[in-house]
Amino acid sequence: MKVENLSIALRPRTAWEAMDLGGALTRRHARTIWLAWFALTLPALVLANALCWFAFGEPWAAWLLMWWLKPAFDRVPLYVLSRAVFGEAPGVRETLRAQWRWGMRAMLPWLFYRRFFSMNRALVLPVDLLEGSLAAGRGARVRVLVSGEGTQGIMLTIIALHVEAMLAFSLVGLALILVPVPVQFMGDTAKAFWETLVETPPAWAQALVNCVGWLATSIIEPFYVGAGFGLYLNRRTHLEAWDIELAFRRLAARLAAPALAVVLALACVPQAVHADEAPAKEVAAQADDEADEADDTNRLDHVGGRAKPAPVAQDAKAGERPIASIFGSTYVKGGDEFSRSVAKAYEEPALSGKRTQRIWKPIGDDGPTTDRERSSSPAWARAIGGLFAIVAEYGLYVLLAVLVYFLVRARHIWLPWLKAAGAIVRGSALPPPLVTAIEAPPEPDIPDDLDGAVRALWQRGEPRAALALLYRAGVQALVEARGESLPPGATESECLRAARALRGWPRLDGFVRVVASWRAAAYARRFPDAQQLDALLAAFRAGKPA
Amino acid sequence: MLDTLTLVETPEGISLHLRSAGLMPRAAAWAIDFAIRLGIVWATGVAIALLGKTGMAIYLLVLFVVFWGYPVLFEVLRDGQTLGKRALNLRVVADSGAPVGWVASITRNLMRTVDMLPFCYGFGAVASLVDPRSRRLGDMVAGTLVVHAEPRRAKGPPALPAAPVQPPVVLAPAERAAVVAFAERAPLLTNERQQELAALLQPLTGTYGNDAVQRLLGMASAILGRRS
Repeated sequence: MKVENLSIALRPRTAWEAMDLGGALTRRHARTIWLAWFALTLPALVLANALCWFAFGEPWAAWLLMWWLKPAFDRVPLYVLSRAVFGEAPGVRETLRAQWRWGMRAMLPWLFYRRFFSMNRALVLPVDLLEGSLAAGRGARVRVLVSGEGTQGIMLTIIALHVEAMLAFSLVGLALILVPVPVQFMGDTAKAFWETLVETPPAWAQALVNCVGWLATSIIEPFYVGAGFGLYLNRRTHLEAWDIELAFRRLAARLAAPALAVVLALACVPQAVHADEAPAKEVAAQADDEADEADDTNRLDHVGGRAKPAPVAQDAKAGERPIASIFGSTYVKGGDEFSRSVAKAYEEPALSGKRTQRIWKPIGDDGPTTDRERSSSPAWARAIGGLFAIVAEYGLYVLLAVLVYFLVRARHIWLPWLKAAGAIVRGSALPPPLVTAIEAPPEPDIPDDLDGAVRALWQRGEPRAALALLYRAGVQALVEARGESLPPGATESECLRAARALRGWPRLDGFVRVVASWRAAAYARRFPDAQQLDALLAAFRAGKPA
Repeated sequence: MLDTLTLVETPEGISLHLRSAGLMPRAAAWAIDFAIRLGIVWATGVAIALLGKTGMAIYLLVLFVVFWGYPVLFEVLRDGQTLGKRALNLRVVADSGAPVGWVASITRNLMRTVDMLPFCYGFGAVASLVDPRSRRLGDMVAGTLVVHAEPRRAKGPPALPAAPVQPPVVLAPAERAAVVAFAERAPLLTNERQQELAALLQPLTGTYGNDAVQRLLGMASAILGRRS
């Protein structure tokens, strides 16, 4: 097994996250998995139903048979996933061909006693199918796997069981939603039919139920197997530190690169010299990691600090002396090897100052183009278009000229209006108020012959005016008796109160009756008849001073 | 490299990895929540049965709050976690990685009426199986995501008996992390596997076998900042 070929991101996960990874793996290879799944299980479903229907006469047993065979069907997703995880995803044909032989020996216990007792099928099945372990070592191996994630494995089985049942009911519910059968309002025959369907279902209905159950299984089972496989991978990642192995392999490959080998050779490890032979391509591959970390001062420390002191070269040029004098006996002049390494290092993309930038461009877009270039119409069409453009342009100028002419002609309409507006602005005159007080017409004086005047109005058919006159006469009498005027706008009630406040006013009784009849006339349009008017006038006259 | 991470880039240019949670843990969390809610309804039902018609009114109110308010209140007020999600260490977040707000939470929980169709979350389960980020329909509408939260307890540094050894070359951060991870998880590995792993780093340690393991542990000790 080669960890570096794994196509999943390795890191220690929690068990639940590992199940999600398995789900993602199933989703990635969904096409192969489900095509192979249906190719295998659909004939099995037909066979099982035919067998149970015609041989035993018990169609419902087909459902039990299909459920019992699930471990055998689980091999389909497991085969695909276990290959795909190493980047060798098999095709549908290959998967189906493998089903004849692959894992058949391991299937025997799974289809017999383990079908009853194992609650951890998804987690343990990979041990039997992928590791091919012997019967003797199997128990210990399974215990190791289950000790870490067995609880979650059992919970996974329980959840998958419930989801499967729920999906089966959902499929039935979906059919009931889509089929317009008003269950509550069915006729008697339809109701009887429905009841027999539920209570003693006919064989075809049972076969239909088998199909629904199989569909629900088909939806969830690959995800169940995938989640279990995710658990299995995660457990092994924990147990065998796959992620660490991968990181160590990368580190070892980097250390084997020649650019660093120089440093290493000088530093401490004598065996690393052979690493020089590593191809230059690897240098480029590791360049990114290395460039990030290349801490020049540190590296210099290692070189300077640990290497044997070398004598300064006799033929050193004058320009190199100061460096040598600064570093003293620890300065090592780089040889050809070193300068070649430096040159190679500077060829690496991270140090060269050049950068490759990838951007998306629409196909066929080769820089900016003008409108004329972009239009694909022929020349004559463009000519006609140009003609229209000229006509439209000068037409607009003509329209503007006509507008100006009519404006000048109509100056007698808008010029005075403009002048008046200017005058208002200059004089800052206020606009006239919109609401003016409506002046009430002056009330006629009270005539001396009150009775005559009232009766005259009454005769003229203006009983309201007659009663109003009588009321005003009453108010005037009150004012005279009080010796002072009433407050302006006094209401009938206020007048009455003022009258009662006058102790011993002889005309009080008559005044009260006048006010009452005026009120009835004014607010309710109830008028006294002729006799009542006579009585009213008599009463009002009663206490009149001579 | 296949993974369950969702990459979210913040306006500051920081990449966040959201580890979206699939159907299995979410179903488990829902089952726990459902059991709790059933328990509350049952307990109040028993207590309120003594109160007659008034009790019935109170009971209906409790029913409403427990089935519609429970998820919303927990998600918004308790940092995206109902009790079941807390037990499974899941969390509801906005798909930008931000905490989930009132509107989003109410939307995703009202959309349960659609997810519940045709029977007990049939649509929701299928949507969550098909979607690469395992969202049910309510999550898609509300723009939310259920993610695995960070583990609650952070582990302390491992106790390393080995004497610190400075690595002879400068190691990249990922490489340092790998060496420390080796030291952390060495007690869980068999001795043969430890030696096998250490042998891979022979260019670094210069030896094989148990010495190499000890040297690596010493390097991890030095990386963690211990001095002899």
